[in-house]
Amino acid sequence: MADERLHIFGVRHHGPGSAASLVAALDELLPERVLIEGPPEGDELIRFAASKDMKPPVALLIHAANDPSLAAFYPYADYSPEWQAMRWALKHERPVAFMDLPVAHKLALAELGREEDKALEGKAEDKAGDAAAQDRLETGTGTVPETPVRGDPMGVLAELAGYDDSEAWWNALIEQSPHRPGVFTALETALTALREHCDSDPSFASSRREEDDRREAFMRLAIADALKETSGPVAIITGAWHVPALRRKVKRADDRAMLRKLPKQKVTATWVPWTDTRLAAISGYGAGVISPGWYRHLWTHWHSRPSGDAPSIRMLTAGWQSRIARLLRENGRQVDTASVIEAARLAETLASMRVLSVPGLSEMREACLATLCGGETVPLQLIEDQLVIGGEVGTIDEAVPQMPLQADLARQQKRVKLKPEGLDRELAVDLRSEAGLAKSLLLHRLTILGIPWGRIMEANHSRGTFRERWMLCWEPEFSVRLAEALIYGTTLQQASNNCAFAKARDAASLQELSQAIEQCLLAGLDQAARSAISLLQQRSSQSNDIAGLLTSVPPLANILRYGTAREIPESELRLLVLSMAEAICAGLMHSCRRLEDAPAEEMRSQLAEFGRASDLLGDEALAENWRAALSRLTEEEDVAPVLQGFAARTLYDRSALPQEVIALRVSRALSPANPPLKAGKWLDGFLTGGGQILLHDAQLLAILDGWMARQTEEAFTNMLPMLRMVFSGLDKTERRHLLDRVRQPVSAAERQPQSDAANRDAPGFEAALPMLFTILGLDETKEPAHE
Amino acid sequence: MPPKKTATQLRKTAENLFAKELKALEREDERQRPANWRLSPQAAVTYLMGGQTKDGTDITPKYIGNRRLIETAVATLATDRALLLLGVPGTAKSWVSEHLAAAISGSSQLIIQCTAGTDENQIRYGWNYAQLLAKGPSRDALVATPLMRAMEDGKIVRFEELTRMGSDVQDTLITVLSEKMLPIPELDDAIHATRGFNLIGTANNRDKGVNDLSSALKRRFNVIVLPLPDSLEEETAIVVKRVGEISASLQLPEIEPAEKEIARIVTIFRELRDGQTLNGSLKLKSPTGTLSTAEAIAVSIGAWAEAGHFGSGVMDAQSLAANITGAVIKDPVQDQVVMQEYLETVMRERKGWGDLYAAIREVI
Repeated sequence: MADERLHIFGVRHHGPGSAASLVAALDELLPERVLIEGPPEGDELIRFAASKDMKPPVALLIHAANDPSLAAFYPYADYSPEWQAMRWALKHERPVAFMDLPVAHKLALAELGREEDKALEGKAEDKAGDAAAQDRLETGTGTVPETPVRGDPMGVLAELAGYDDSEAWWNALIEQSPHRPGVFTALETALTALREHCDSDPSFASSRREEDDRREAFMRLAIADALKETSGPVAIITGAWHVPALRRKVKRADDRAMLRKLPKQKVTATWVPWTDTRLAAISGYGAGVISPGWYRHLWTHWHSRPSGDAPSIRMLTAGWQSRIARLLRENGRQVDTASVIEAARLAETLASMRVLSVPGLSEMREACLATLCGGETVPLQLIEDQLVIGGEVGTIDEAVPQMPLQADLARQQKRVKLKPEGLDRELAVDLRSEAGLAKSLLLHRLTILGIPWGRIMEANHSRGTFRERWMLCWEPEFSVRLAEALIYGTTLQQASNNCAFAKARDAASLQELSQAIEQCLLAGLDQAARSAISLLQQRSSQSNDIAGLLTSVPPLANILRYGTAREIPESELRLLVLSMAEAICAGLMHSCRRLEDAPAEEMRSQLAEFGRASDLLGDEALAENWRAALSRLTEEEDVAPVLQGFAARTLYDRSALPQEVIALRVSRALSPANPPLKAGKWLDGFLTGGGQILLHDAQLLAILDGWMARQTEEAFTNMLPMLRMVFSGLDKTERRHLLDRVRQPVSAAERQPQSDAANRDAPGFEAALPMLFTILGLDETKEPAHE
Repeated sequence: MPPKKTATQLRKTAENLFAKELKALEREDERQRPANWRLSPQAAVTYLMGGQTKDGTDITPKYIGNRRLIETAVATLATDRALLLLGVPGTAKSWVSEHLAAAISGSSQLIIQCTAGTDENQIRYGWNYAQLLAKGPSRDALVATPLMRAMEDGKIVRFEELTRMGSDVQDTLITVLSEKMLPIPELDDAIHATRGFNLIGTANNRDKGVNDLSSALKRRFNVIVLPLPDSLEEETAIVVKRVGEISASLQLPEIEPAEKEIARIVTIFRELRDGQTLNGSLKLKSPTGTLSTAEAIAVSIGAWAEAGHFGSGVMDAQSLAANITGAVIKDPVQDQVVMQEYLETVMRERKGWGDLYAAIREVI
């Protein structure tokens, strides 16, 4: 195989220096054919790389035809040597192809692994699990440089060269310097020595070893074929790590033997947009780079300068520092041009002190910290993500064969003028305008499909119903979810409609079902909403799950009252909600009986929610029934006392019962025969939403006062915590007022027979005052003397 | 300034104390030096961070901490920009500036101590009034300030506590820093700085009530913030090293090695300064003082002197107690509470700290 027509270029998968050197080398060599380490399934797609409308970062997405979630990505940035090699070959009209082991085998192996490991499948939903699974899938092409660049082997070379870590060494040597012709040969020599050492050392052996061997065997065969078919030079672009192995002389038969009996999968391939964030190593991408932003800057500087002026280190440094200055200014910080000049000078001086030919990211950072930021790290932290990582999302040529949903999404995005971006961005939409509504519908529909491109920032009924605030952030794996959603339909509308209905059908509880309806209405999915409403009707009539009904009504009532600034099937919905509300009123008593403390508490808040919702519906008959149901609650014996108290309070608030009747109920609940704890719970329910009521109603206060005076010391101590809790709802002035009321001698008119027992002039009352202060949470020392 | 009677001098200057190291570095320094620099930038960094020369002379580390900070500082001076060292008290600002000046200009003695009373005449130039009356305005009648001498000789001048002098006086420096010249309008003349001239300012970013730098002036400085030491180990190492050096120059009586006790002092200082225990399990009140590394050094020296002169020759809980309380309790009311609380909640529970707990209890 030692053919001098064979030229192997070892690169870093996303390295601007590698890319620049490669382009220069190709220009010089003019190879007749170009082979790139990458999945052969993508061969058909290479031709799009020449298109102007393809703006990296983009990725090849290859997934199993029958299961889109089984997928592998091959991302390329502008500064990826592979991308540049594709473009070079297309520009010079040379045949170009991928030469790596087909992904079909890898996906098939992954599927086998998945079947073995059911636990993993369960986790597939959550993001971390996804990323981990992908990383494993990417092991082939994607993560190769991990071994050379971040792992131990390269560290050996870096240490020999006197660098702290391999990243700094590689950057200084390869990525940050302008093109050096000898770099590939030099690198190959070094790596050959290194691989010899590693391959013979069992401690470097890894699970990846077997796979690497297989891939290298496949690539050797592909290279041999290419040499046979051409007469001129052949250029091979591969991860630096593989270079020595591809040069190795191995019998064809041996290589073939390695590849025998590999399982295979049918796959589909396409281009998808990728993001800067996911090119960064911090995202967990094995072949990721520390700073996509810095690499892009280096690449544009060394290679694709728009103006024809010669690249210089001064321009490189100044360009980066002015980027920092611009970002700082956008974040409201004053930065003058003179400081930018100083920052650039300092960065260069630092580099020369550290014997670097070009300032690296850390020199740049230290220089701008001392000059632009006045020594403070806080402003720098503010902009670091935008600066170091960058928020670019690639775009795809429309001619690329795309999955129908992907294409539909691209159309919709264009229509509503929303561009995917990789960093968080806030978006406020006004639902009254057509454009705003369209945006909101699109985002809601995607959410239904499990693509949370936008996360809603606040419930939309808290600040007017015509405004929504979203936080947008595009993640590349949404492309996979789109492929998965294909089972529901081929347009977004169709797919989300079907998906929403499927969710409604599978809903485990009435609450889930009504939430699904709410989602449908928000996403403007009429058809699904109608079907789901009739589903809810069926299920609610069959169910005597009052608690479920109680939680289902409020969100629907909200929509009915405030609308969603969208067309909704109002009459059907209204009928349904009313019938559910009536069902609740009728069955309420039954579900409030014999409740333990905790469920009773929950029931209280549900009742409160429902009460508000029934007010929103504004239906007289319903209101009447609701009052009657509450009134029955107050009279029954075995209803949880806290609910009875709550019911009495609600009736009092609505003036549904005459005041005397309420007083009667209060005094009955607090009568001596009732165990103090039960009475206390009742009181707790009665004072739901605040004790202000006691300030305004002297009669109630007097009853309460009398009840408290009657308690034995022990009972009183037992109730103290609860009483404190009850009164903690009052603010400080209210508590003081209350205390004043209790202190004042009650006028004859207000005096009730029950309260006669408590004589306010008795010395016992004075003695009890400190305890009262404690209960009411007032600081006695700060209380001005009153009498 | 000619060296006079350095043997009896209480505190020797940096260039004097480390003359041997500087000479060794200078001898073998072959890298390019900026004009009028005694050492190349790389050698200056080595002088501050420590290392070894080829002929085997050990260079002791002067600054223990992030090498990159010192590199940035030296690079700043090499680019003709003035350097401002910021930091809370006791983070070795003056110390670093002294050694930078010694390494670069060979002298750390061109220094202006800025106070609220510093006026323009002490910064630019003064007049020798006898000369002025006798001969009229002339260069001979000028009294040079350290700044003026540094400009003429191409050396580094240090401004200590820059923000303590009034803002109007600070602004005198603007022209000096941007034009590198000092106009003398009375003589229709100006002093143009010789190559190698530069300025290092130090300032405190914790103290309130000092005159903040005007933004015009701040723009003319590169700012480096010197941080507090990262870890207990690093801080203890700094204190142990400095205490050794100072006690030698003070000729304190020899005592048993006291690393352990010094670690306890640093622990107390760090915990009170951070407002929490080292393991983060307990929140603490912080005292009014800053409790810097420099103060920990002073406390250790005090304890050393007490142990050496009056005690058993061993730095023990007794000798620590009074010194620690003296450093922590600056405000007799508030800090007393802080110390009490620390004593009862942290020290009493801590294993092996019983002696210190008892000793401090006795003192307060």
